[in-house]
Amino acid sequence: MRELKILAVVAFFTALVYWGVEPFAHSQMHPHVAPADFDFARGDLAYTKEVSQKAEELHTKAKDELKKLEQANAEKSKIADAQKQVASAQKEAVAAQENLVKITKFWKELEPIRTMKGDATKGAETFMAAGCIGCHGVASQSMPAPMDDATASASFGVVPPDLSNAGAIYDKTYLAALIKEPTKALRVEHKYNETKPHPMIQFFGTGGDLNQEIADIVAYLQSIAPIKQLDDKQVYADACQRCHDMKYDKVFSNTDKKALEAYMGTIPPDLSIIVRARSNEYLSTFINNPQKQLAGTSMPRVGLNEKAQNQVINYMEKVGDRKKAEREDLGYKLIGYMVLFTLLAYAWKVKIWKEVH
Amino acid sequence: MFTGIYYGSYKKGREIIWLTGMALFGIFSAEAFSGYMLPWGQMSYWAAQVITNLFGGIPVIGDALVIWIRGDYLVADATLTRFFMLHVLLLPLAIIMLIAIHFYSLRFPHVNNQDSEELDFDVEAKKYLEGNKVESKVVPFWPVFLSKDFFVVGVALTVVFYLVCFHFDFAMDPINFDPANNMKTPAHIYPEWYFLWSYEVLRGFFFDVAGIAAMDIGLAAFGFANVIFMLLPFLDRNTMHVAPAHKRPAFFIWFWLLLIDMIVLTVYGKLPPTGANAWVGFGAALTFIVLFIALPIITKMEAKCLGGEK
Repeated sequence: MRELKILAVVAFFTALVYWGVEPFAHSQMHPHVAPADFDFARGDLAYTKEVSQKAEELHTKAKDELKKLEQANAEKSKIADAQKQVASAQKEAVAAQENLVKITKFWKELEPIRTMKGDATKGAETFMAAGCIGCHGVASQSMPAPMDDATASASFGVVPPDLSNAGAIYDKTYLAALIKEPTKALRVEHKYNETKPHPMIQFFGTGGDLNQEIADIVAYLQSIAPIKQLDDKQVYADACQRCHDMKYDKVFSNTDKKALEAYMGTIPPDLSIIVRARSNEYLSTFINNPQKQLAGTSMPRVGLNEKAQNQVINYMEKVGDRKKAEREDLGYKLIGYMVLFTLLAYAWKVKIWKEVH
Repeated sequence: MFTGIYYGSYKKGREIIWLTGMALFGIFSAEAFSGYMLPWGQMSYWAAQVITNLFGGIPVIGDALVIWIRGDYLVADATLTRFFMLHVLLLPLAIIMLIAIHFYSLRFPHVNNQDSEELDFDVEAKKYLEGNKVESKVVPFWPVFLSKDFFVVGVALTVVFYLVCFHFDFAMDPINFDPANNMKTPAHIYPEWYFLWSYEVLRGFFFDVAGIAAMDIGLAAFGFANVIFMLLPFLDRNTMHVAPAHKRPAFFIWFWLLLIDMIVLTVYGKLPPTGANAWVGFGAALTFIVLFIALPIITKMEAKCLGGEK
């Protein structure tokens, strides 16, 4: 059958081109990153180590390049450029190494908290004494937010979260890290320093053992968290809605847009169809640690535990692809119709061509 | 198109079919490009920015032409509305007209066949009408020819509906779901897959040669690539000899080299043009041009050879 041979050739080249421009090209353009890790201490260390290694590799590469140029007696200007490259690569590598030391120390000091048993009653006292409710509301415990949204936006850049559900949706170790040193837990150290401090103040303790006090506060937050499962939209509202809009579900950020832009450097994107613009894999690694996919981004790591993060992605999927069920239902009908059509067309073709052959 | 090239269906009386077909190809490209812009996503926007910018390379009138096409200094609302008009009205009208001419021009030389056998169509048609349907080498368009097409369309639509309903993202660029933003350039800009080969010819020449800017060489190569297929009937100097490629050894090699080169161009047109990729792209773009320059020479030699045998 010559026709079938020609068809096979066409199909082969079509498949080859498809493979080249889709799976292959995309694997080249979007390098693979390590999957989401909900053990935040382990994930953070692994990521920081990787960054440091990469910086070191670039440094070595720049040095090799310079050596090659020097051996080849290249032009002076080229050598000067290469020297500049080496200097900047070295600076990066040293900074990454220093950061790795800092991060390692940070999680090491927090290590005891992971096995410590917090006391919720004591935690409640510490929570009040530490002044948390100076900025945060805890609506479920009838502690309303101290400021209205407009004032809070103007004071902090973003409305501070209500902590009613924090114990349920955020990871325990992450919460401890956040209370101890917000910029490290949020991974926004590139944005804040002593002259430009993060709006959430570090907790220095109220006099007792710092780790125990932090463990108590976390225990308190967990004790007031609702036992009933939160719905997906509620988790999204707690974790994302202070910055992001979701206009297809008529849900808007409660922070003033101008303040938010000044605070984040840009208006955070609307998330209505983000599930289509980014793959599920991208979203899960991005929410888990934004720096992994987009180094230098101003989006903080929010520290959702695995279940809560899945709920958030689920909600985005529901909004961004809300006609999925309808589409698939119609799909069966359309395909059924076309199969029937094809069979009839084939029978007809055979009947007509019988006379010709 | 490649089938047409393989069987030599573009020459000896069939030039007009080839030319109108290539004109259709060009206008379909414009239709596809204007439609790709309409979702107004990031890739739509930046592809439009890059492609309209190409017209700036035309000497003397370039810059004014770009503004005239865009209707603004950058791709903006005015561009969107006029592209919408082109996509839904003007280009479809032109396509309908061209299809009519394309089909009508087929009625004179009639279709080619897999052996490039020359038939006396009037005699064969008469045979068919007299009832010698099996012996006759032609079939009527309706219902015999179309009955096959109905079946093929049925198979194709089944696959299309499966993909649309269950895997709509099978060849879609997710980044186009990000709304257009002229302050934020995407990390990678590339056209849809059917333009990748000519896009790679455009950017394959990435370094200046003898004082001519890389951009200008690329543009010239791009212009070359987009008209050269149209000239195929005139580049094949063995004009009187219609035969499938496997009966023309030199042309056979030329054909497969071209096909492989176009696949390489397509794949590397999407990959980021850095490091070794840039050189592969350069090699493939150069090969493409050399192949078309070599074609008249190869076919002329072929014609001489055949003449010698006779």
